[in-house]
Amino acid sequence: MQKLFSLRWLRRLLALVYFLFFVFIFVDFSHTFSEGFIRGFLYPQFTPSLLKFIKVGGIFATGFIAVSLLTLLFGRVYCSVLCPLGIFQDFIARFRIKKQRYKYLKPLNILRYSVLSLVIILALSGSVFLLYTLDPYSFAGRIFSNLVRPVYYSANNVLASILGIFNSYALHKVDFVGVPWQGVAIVAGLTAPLIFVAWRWGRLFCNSLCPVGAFLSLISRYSIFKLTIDENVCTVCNRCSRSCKASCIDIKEKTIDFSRCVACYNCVDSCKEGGIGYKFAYSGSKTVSVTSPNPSRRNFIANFTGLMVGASLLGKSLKSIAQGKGRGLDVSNPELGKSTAGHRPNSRLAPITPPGSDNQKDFLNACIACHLCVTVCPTHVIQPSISQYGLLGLLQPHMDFHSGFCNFECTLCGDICPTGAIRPLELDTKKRTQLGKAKFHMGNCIVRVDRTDCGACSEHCPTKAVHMVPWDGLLLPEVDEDICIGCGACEYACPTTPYKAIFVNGNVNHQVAQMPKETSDDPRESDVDDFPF
Amino acid sequence: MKRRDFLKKGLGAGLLAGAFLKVSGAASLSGVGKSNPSKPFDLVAVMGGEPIPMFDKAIAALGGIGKFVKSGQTVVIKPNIGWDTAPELGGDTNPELVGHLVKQCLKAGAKDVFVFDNTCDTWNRCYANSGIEDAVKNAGGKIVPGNTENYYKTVSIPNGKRLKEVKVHELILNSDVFINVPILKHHSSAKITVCLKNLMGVVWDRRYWHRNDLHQCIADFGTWCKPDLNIVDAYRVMTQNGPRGVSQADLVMKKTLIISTDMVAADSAASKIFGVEPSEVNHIKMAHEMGVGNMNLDELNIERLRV
Repeated sequence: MQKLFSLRWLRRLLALVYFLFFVFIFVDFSHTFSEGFIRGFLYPQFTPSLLKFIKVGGIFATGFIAVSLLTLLFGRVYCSVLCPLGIFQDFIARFRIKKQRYKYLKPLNILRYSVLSLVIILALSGSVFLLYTLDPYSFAGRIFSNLVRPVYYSANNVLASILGIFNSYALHKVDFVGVPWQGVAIVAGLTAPLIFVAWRWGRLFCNSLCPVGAFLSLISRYSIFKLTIDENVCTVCNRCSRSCKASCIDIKEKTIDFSRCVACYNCVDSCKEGGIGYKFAYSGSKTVSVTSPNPSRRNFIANFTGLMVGASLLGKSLKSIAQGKGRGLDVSNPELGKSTAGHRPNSRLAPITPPGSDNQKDFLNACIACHLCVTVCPTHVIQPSISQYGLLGLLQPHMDFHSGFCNFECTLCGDICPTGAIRPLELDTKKRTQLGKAKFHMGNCIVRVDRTDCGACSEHCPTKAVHMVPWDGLLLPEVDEDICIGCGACEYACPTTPYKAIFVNGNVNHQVAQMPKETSDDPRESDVDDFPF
Repeated sequence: MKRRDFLKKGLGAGLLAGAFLKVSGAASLSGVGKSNPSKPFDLVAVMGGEPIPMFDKAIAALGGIGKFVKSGQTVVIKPNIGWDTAPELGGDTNPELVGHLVKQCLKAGAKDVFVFDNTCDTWNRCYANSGIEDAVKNAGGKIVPGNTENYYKTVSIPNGKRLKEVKVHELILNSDVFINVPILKHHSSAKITVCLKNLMGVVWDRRYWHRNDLHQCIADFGTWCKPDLNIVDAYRVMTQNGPRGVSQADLVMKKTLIISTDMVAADSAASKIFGVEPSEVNHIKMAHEMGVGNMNLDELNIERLRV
């Protein structure tokens, strides 16, 4: 008997609404929601909020505490209401064949707590690679930004074309530009197995590889209110177990492993006897039959200690690999000054990180590659990296000046970044934040080689750090590095192929550019008052 | 309108303009600085007022907007909306002028008035922050995107020397009337940007022009693309650090407006206002030599007005 209103339907409704907003934010190109709304909306996302709390602090970064408290009260409500990857898996699981039913599975405690330990140890030793690869929030972000966004764009473009037939320009077409195919392939390659697992076993990912799921399970073991089976009414019909996508109901023992329960409440509605519901877990009543047996907890502790030692060694070695491999070289190294000439101008010495990321190291340690900045960036200059930061920075975003350049008047990426990897900047500060320095490579320049005027670089330069100087009856670009902010407008606009005649070398540590010369808030009065013709 | 019809029309207009130039060239021998009101003006320049009154006075001298826009026609207006900067920085055409022009076209009976630009900065931010989007919408016009390649169709440029083929926005091909509304600015690549240079914003691939002799490509495109009317906003003129500008220190209040059916003539007059000889701006000289228009102002019948 289905009740008109139940916990299950309430959670479904909330999850659906949150999920739809979430997906929309990660595919939207129209800047529909304000930065404040997006920040507030993502407040309860566990991993970004935790990282932000560590990096920036403040009351707005306490989402992970709120989620932990909620878990302490009612279990892993996050997993079924707020976790975008969880809801995504629920959608996949709806495509199961009717005959397929869930059944109780043994907990994979060694696996899930080993993964959690490794994630923590690696993060502490300076690499968030494993964290962001498995983190459900950023995993979902990448799916929507890389795989769903192009579909959304195409649908929009078809609609815009149809309207165009009727002379209406109410919708505009959008290009899915700049996203590296390798990035899309990697995200698709990781999503495919997730889809299969979710289709076959429901929420298995959440109780095996998900670090947030594993962490919350440590809390939900001690939840104050737990879902329990009332032994007095249970007829062992097994309906609850068959409906449990976390496979955590052992009907033989009439127990629910609440550490694995994702609080979807399917079991509550499935029980014809009304025998499953929240009970106060510390009342001493006989019906307290929850949690997994002690051995697993003991295992976990043993595991954790062992892993602490082993993985910290592994972490250190991985970290050194990461740093050695393409993480950009220190600009203070005197070797670098002379290496520009003779090199391909496009193989820059250091990649460029977004404005507000302060320095590359901090950025890479705090960015979980959710690709929200990639989605919202109005110029498409922020793109997932492939090799720019090395293997352990795979998919963390960088500034790609071949797909766009940093809009002078814009601070969106810092305003929405949920982890604090890109910190919000005041517009005036941003306009002087030097991400890198433009380098002019004369041997590639149209003016020099073809002896025709060009100047596209200087044209786009917002500070006129790139300016034109007389040269052989023509105008040749020149760079004033002191006022260059490394926005990449010159590099983007440069028309030469395949290599550009001007490109930006990233600053590993962002610097402050000097003010452009001669600025004023008043135009000059005209010195002539008659027609010059 | 079919592409072939459009080309025919363009060719016809070109011939007509050529004939005009011959006649007016003979007429203006009367002397520099004087106009002949008995003949149609080749160019009207207005000085000393706000953009809208200057425009009203100038268009009246040319016979009113009704001479260019007929009832039931579709109009496309191409201002300079290249940069995501505020109107007071002079990087984009004056929004009030654009809005006013939209209104005048609608008043003249235009069925639809479209406004677009292929911008340099992100298009929607340019549209919004230049003030032009609001001005157009409030005036009853339609602001149209030009941000993706599929709005552009390939045309050939038979008289082009370097530019033989180019992708042009569909509105330029499909509209009955084309009004070019540039703002006069210093330009780091082209020296100055006025009517001819502003047309770079109706094509898709600008990099090709920069790679293949920028000045020649600008002149080449002028042989094919002939706006029915050119209105030069020279009110707030960027005399350095163009075309984007850094601050208002780059601007001089010239308070002038030029209007002409001849792009080369308008560019020539604008050069003088800017302070360079038109012959020093290569694309103006080239366009003149290729017969796009006449840069010799002393051969033109010019009306000079004050507000």
